[in-house]
Amino acid sequence: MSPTLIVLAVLTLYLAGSLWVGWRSWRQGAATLDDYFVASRRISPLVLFCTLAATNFSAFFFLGFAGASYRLGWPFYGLMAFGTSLVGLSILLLGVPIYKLGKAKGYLTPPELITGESGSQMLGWLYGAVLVIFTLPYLAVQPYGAGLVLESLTDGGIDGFHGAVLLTGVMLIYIWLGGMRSSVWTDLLQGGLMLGLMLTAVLVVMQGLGGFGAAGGDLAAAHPQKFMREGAVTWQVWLSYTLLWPMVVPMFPQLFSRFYIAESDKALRTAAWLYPTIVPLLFLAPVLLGVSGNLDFPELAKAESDSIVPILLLEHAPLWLAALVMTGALAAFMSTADSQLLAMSSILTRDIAASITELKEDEQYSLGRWLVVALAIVGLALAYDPPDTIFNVVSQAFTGLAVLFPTTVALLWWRHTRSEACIASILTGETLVAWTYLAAQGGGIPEWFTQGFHPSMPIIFLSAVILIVGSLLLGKDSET
Amino acid sequence: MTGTERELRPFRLPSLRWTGIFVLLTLLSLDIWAWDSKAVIGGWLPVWVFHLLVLQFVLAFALWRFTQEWKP
Repeated sequence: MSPTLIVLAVLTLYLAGSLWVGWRSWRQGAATLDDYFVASRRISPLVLFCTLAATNFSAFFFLGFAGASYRLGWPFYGLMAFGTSLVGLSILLLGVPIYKLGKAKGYLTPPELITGESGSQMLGWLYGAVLVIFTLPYLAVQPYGAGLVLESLTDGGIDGFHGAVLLTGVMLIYIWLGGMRSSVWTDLLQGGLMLGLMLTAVLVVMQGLGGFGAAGGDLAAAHPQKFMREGAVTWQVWLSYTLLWPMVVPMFPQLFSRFYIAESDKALRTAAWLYPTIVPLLFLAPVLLGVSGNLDFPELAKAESDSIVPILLLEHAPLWLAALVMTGALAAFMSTADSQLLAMSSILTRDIAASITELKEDEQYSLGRWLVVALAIVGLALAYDPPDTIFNVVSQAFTGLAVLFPTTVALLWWRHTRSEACIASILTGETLVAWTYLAAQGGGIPEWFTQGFHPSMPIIFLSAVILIVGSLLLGKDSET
Repeated sequence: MTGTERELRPFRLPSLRWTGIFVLLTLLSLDIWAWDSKAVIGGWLPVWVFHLLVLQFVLAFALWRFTQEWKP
């Protein structure tokens, strides 16, 4: 059997499995707006945890983590792990309030909650605009990246764009049919595959390298700096990432929307402590692979190092196994992209269309489904030849979305929050995001601004200060 | 807005003790005092990564306890 045929057989099985799960979920659901966007708020604790994790961990977790660890060494684990575990705290402190408010008032999208709780349509629109601006480019980048994975897997047998069309097409079918319900249940399949195949990759590669101890010993002798934080990362950058993840992850609209789908607040409580239980072990796998890649391939350039997982697999595993494991990367892509597609569709339907014109629920349901199709087509069109602007926006997405964190926390937790101060906070934050981006392109972001921290830290801090000072100056607002 | 709906916000923490615990765990994760550590466990796992692993499990336990106490 030729290599391309093996890959195609594995791929066909995976895609057929995704379609079957998506179809089964649709059959169990109802053709209502509530079911389409929030799965009738009936997702149980364990399933909720799985869908939160699968949605959060994109193809970057599967490929980019290992690539970054190849270059930076073990310190990359430190930049990602504890902060991601702290997302559990965010699930609890933001997720539970969002769930309760969503259930009590029927919110389906993040901006709806912001508008409803602040009483300001303007703030809701601004919040929604930021979500769309920083999430839409991701929708284009994801199929582009997945297409490239498929192209490399089939050795050019399927070119990148046709690969993107194939994967997006399958995703579109199950999201069109079952919306959130299909997204959640396919997440279970995709997340399980991602986890199982990543662990398989670790076992196969480490065995090929002579075992954990032998590979570690060789690596420590040849590349001791890969084990050390000193010289690789500063404590300021380390702390920045530790704080950034719990602030930005719940601001991803695809994650925020999932707080609405829980069957009870117990589901979110369970997901909250499961997150730091699983993440520490899960993150070891790609980091270990990436760091170990330095043994066999010590001189890879940056772009090549992002493919260190497939490179290692092709070195240490039979082709069929390498193809099977790389299906995990495609699963990781689909589990994130389908959720983003649905979240964008819900925002455009509920917060834009339904707020400017009268739409009955069944009309919104229909519009939401067509918007999923339209967004997927836009994503594919951009994936055909992505303009540089898209990658530029994506590079700023984490900080851009984290600017919404102070507003979200304040509206849920602080009685004196004023919507005008929230608007000023977001506008100032996004202006600073644009300024730091332009400064980085020029002479670099001034040291007096960052003080050695990641630029997101002073930006979020200033956004929070403006919100607090503004709210206090404007005085108590009993309506918010 | 009804009275029941108004009662939902603002949400409140049960005590400052929990804030202290989560801040302390975050500070401990910095591990600045052993920043230049090269020690490994089992020949492959840096000791500071093991330290982070343990802290994350402590965080998971703390969150589990917190969920028992905080019921808004």
